[in-house]
Amino acid sequence: MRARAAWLALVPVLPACGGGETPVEPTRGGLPWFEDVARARGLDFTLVSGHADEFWMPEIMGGGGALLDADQDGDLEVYLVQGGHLVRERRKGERHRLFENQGAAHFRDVSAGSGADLEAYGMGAAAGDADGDGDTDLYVTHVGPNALLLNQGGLRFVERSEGVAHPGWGTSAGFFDAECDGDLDLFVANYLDWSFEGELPCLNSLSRRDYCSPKNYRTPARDVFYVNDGAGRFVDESEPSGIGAKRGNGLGLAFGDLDANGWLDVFVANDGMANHLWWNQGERRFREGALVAGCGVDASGQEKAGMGVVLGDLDRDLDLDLLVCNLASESDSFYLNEGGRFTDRTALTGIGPVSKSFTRFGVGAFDFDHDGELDLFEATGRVQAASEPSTADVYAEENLLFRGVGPGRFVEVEPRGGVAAPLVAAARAALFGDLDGDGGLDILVVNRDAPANLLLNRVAVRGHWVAFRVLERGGGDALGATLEFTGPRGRERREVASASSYLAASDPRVHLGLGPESGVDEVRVRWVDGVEERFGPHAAGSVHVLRRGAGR
Amino acid sequence: MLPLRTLVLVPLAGLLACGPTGPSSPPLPELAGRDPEVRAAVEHLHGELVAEPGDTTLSTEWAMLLDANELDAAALTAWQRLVALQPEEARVHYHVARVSERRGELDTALRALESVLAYAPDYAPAQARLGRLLLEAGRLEEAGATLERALALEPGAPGPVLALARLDLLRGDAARARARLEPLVATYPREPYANSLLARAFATLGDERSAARHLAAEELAGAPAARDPWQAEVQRRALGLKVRIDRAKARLAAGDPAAAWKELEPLAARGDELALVDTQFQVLIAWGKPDEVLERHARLAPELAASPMLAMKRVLALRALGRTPEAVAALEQELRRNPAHPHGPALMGELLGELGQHAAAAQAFARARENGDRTLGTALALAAALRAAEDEGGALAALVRAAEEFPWAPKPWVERCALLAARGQLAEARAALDEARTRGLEPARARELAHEFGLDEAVR
Repeated sequence: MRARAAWLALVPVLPACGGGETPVEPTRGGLPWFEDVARARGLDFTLVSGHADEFWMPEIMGGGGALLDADQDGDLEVYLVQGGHLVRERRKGERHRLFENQGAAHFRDVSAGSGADLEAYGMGAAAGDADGDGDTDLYVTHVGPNALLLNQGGLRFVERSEGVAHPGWGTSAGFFDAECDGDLDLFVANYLDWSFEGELPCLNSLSRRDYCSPKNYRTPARDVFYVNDGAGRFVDESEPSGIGAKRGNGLGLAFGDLDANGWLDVFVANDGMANHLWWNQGERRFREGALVAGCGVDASGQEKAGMGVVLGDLDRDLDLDLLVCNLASESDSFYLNEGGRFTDRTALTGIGPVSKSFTRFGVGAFDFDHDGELDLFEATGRVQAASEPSTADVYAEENLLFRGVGPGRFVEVEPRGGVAAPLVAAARAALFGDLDGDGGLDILVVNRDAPANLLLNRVAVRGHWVAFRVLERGGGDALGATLEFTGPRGRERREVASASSYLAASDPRVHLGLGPESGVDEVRVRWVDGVEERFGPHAAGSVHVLRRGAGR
Repeated sequence: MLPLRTLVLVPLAGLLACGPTGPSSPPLPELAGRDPEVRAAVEHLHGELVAEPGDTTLSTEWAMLLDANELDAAALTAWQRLVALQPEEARVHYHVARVSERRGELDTALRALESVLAYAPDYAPAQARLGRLLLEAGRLEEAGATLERALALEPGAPGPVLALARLDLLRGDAARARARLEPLVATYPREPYANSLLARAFATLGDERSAARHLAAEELAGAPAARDPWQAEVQRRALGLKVRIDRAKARLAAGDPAAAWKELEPLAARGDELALVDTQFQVLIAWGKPDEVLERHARLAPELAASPMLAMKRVLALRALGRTPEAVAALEQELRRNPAHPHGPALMGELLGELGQHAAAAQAFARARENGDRTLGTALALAAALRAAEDEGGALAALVRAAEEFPWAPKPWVERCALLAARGQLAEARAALDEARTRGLEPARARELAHEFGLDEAVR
């Protein structure tokens, strides 16, 4: 038994698990959990939507980016996808940007000459070792042809988009090993079959021109599935796999073995339509089954505006649950996994009434205060003008932060969003990772037509922590592998994941809050192909590398 | 008996609103950016209220106007001011609850609903709303009891039944949810969420076939069947371009273009707003006045007339006048200008079909699909055009694709049945009809079709 520090006294007394009746007081008047240091640390980035007189739908949906250790020095670089202007002639040289982490979250813009500074109307990014050479590559989605950027080392990338430059409106994308064959395949969510000519003159509640609902267009798009041939070349298998059989207004994306059959399934949050859950049946075949599985629509039967996604074991029963963010007036949807079927348990989470006042996009469930409970951060921003705006930006809102108070239960943290002064902007992607290397998870928020926020973790009293970089034999992050360990709250499970949230690729390292524990005795890793290895013990306060083949 | 909180809050609210010398007039809210019709109405009523600040009728009208037009902060203040003037008027508390809920102020909404029920415990929509909010707040026991009270007040009302079924499913009692929902679906087959919830219940019970049937039915659902007279009274005060267009479209959908036109009349002076002109044209065509559409279109400013939406309405007007070749020519011109038009090619397919040019119509429908028109109607129209062009193989393939793309829809299977029966492939036709039946084709209709196609044996 590991020693418990005096910190134990600070762990909140928790209500019994599972019930919904025990009131838990919100965290009111507390200290901020995060501090925005973006400009001070050299992360100067404003997502340019290009909005002028028209209301072209892509202008309101971007943008995102990726956190990746591009130069393999142990800290996270930041890649941010730029918009610009949808009409090429009106662009003003806006490009995607790469920021080198020079240590402790001090950043330097290294975009010029990096090969990653593409000029295109961007949406999101995926990160993973696409060519199996051990470093992290990027896939960038655009309104127009997407791009695959292979990492050449030394913060240099080269574009190799042949075969993967899907010309549609790509949104979230992610690498995952669909075939359990050791290389990373690629899934791209598409939003609408959009064109300038198909735009519509939609009105908001003030009877003024504004952005339309995706439902107005009635042109949902097909998502795309590319299979890796093992040498970094991708083949479009959307049609034969079944993925191309259904259309949706795809936004958020996440991967996980939701039915515990050994294959990674794909969940796509659709905007204004039933979500898609692509059951992976092996042999490159997928079957869509969200409605029957219970995660297509909400508890009242309503198709919601699905945006960002969290996929993880939120109720600590060792299977994977789903949390989907939605539009204002629609609460988040928390789909509890019960043996491959899902029940919408949002009413028991405590996030419903708060969340439904905002339009939530980026989202992540992480243990920010290291008490062993997953907390929840949601980046928010409207898609139609506020009828009573409080700021000049009529799409701006405050972000939301919730503290975990038990399996799948949360209370809102105040001050709102966990920051001392409210950050009011039209936020889109939220990217999560330990950017300053102090062990606390930080957040990068991309804002439409406003500076991005770099929210460094300043939780006053944090518990112990430990983190794992989980690597395949070739050195790439073992996306889709599962870790099981005994934490301060009992047996737990975490996924090695990068794609989740909204238009985002986050830190793939597995980060655990340990509360008073001084380490973990043993970590069981189940690799994507089902092989298991055991590692440990591991002391708190460090990032440990778990390399395939080096365990027991 | 009144809740203690209400007894304390009411006099406090009275002091806040009235002051020591009687009620003061409310401030004029910020109206910049508001619809001109809303702005004018609010300014006019404010003028009257300044003259008579204690007039409860005027004050109520003021609160309703602000509320209906989503001036939420001012509306909440106005309703709270009325609480002070009429502390025992339940519907005023109810409107405080509604606006508070809309603003995300759940605690205020819950407190206001307690007050409503203290004065009007028999108003079922208030019980139902309270139950739903308690459910959203995770207070399941209280929610259940409140919803049962709502149901007792209005037996069979969809809102409480749906919320209670949600509660059942939340508690893992799918059988009970099913028992609640089946009678509701029988009474309100177009209630939007009932079929979806029932599908969930069946799926949980392992009956995927029934689940699929109700998911298919859910796609045909209509407007919610909830009834809330107090809320409706407020909503009638909504003004402005969007509201009037929405109302006009609702009238049009109900088959009453004259009433739709009347809804738009107050906006007549705003003839340069695209959304208004587009709706006017839509109404005129439905009203049998396509010639007026052509006249109005000819008078529009060039930049407005060039709008793809209005150009399409002109095509529809020409079609309605029987001038189909001219409609085709106008549409061809529009499609040359906007090759990626999402709906134009489908309309071209219809026009060419009317002219008997079925092969060209099929090409147009295929182009519509390439341009992103993913509706079932276009998929079926493609098959019909191919069949009319005597390409039965192509028609069958198109129906197979439609069935794959719309797995819950019976129609592709019905069409397939008809085509196969016409080709004398009765066994395959019977199988297709069976597939349609598993996807929700009504048994009576299935019998009619079987009779029509000579398949009586198959469906007995």
